[in-house]
Amino acid sequence: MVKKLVVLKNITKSYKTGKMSYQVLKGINLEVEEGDFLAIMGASGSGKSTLLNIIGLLDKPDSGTYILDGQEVSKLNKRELAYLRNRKIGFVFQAFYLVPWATAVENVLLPLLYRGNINKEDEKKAVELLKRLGLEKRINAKPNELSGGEQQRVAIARALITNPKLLLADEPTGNLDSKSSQEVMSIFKELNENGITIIMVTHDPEIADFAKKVKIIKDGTFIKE
Amino acid sequence: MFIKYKLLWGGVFHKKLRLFLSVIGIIIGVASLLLMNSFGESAKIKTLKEIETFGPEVMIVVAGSVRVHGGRAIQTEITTTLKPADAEALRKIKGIKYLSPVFNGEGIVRYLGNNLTTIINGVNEEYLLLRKFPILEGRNFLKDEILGYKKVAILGYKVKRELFGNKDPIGKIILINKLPFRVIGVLSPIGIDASNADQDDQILIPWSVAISAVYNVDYIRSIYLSVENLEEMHLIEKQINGILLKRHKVSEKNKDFEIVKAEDILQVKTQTTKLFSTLVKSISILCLLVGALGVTAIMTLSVNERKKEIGIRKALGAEDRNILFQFLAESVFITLFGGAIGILIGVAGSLIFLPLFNYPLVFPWIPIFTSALLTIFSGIIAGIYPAYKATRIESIILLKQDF
Repeated sequence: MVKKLVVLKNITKSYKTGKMSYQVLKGINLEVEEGDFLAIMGASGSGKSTLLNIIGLLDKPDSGTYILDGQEVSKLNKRELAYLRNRKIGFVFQAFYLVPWATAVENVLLPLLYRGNINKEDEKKAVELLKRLGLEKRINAKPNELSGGEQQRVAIARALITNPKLLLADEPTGNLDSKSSQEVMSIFKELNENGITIIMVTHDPEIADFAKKVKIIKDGTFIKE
Repeated sequence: MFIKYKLLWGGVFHKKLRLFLSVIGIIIGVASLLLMNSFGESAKIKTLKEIETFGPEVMIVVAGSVRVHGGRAIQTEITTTLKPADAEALRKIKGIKYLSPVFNGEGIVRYLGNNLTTIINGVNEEYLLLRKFPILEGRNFLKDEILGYKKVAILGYKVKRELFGNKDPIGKIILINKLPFRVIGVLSPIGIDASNADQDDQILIPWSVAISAVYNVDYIRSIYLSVENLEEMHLIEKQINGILLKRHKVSEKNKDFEIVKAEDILQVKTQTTKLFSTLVKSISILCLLVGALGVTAIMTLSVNERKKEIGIRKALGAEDRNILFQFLAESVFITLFGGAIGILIGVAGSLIFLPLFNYPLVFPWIPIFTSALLTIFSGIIAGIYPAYKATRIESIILLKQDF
């Protein structure tokens, strides 16, 4: 039997703006198995980013349960969540979010800073990852010297340096031209084939086509396929 | 290892101009603090040295009422009641080693067309021994020259240089207020003494000649004396007081003389320097605090600009305490950077200005240490608020807020 990596049951979340309370997620149920490649699609305001925040342990649900890799996580404190993010999850964002004053290889090593030391072997591994992603000539380049596609590949390397079980991507091709988008998506596909579970949020059907499964979110719930 | 620290603190150097501007306050604060501290240290040593040249065993009986003010003994009015006979009377006290009547005034000195105005000190042959002024060339007065109204002079080092240059002055005749004097000696360079008088800018002549021929008065201005035994200082002071009260027929309340000891001058001097340095130190610390406030402002701005960086660090596993430590360390680092520049300026300033103002050169180790400590402290104070603000930033800002 395939192990379930992410199990969400009845997740709700609302935001307050002034005196108004707005329910963004209205009882989300989701199961993601190890090795899955899931694309979550939805229009602006559908709640997909909030859902990704919760799956990525960046935000807590108001109610419901979330089991990540066999562990109930919806009641954990900030420190425990930070620990789990570092060990189990890799993030890829639309705007890359590289540290502007650090080189490519330094950016890749950033997650390991929060595990304690960074040793020579870690540096070797980071360089290796960048090479695998076709950046062997850009190892010591600063983010502003890199193209969008290159920056996103650095960000992917940063997500992979910790050997995460789960890769979360938020519109990973949103800031890229179509050629770079294709490159990034084929990297995702290859990673998935090598066993990494991927959950990706996008509004682009062409990009969603790379995933094995697609779910559509609307007004805070998934639409039944 | 290096990468670890670069990832932790590399952000500090990202904006170099701003880094510099933010620490100007710190630089000024630390530099002035250091400068004032080393001046204070140096002033202490200077005072002690001056007192040493003055001699703890020396006492001065000064005519008139005297206020010791800012380390100077100031005669408030001219009093004519202290006579040479008073000096003779004091000789009877047991335990006095040297004693010299002193009459000092200004005088115009000429030698072969060279003119200068200097202090003329009328003294006796014991004065040089009492003040421990060494003679560079020539000799001291003889007792007979004092008693015999001989017009002989011993020149201060500066006076000799100005009148004679490198020539030998011994035996030459100079004019003091138009009267001819034969030069018999030159003093070694002495410098400024505890009463703030430049002892190189004076001419010594017999006191008998000074009051009769040069200034035409029947009184003296002071009596210098030294004691054999320091422990008898107070006893002898009492005796002097008694004798002079009797001779002048005055009471303690309205007496017309004052006895000044090195001790008194030292006391007032240290009090004044203490007050002054406390004042300046408080201002410097205030400046440092204002500087720290500047760092707080810049760091708060920096935290606002780096929200995304903080968000991504948190998403990648940074805990609040990691972020807190990072930004606190940045503040401390920035202040230390400013502090280091301030210390450099302060040290350079001390090395330049101490000799310029005739202060003894001391390398300010202790001031450097205290400045560094204060800088770290103000860096931590400066960093608390921005670092706390940084921990409040959450990673959810990384995802577009479109729900």
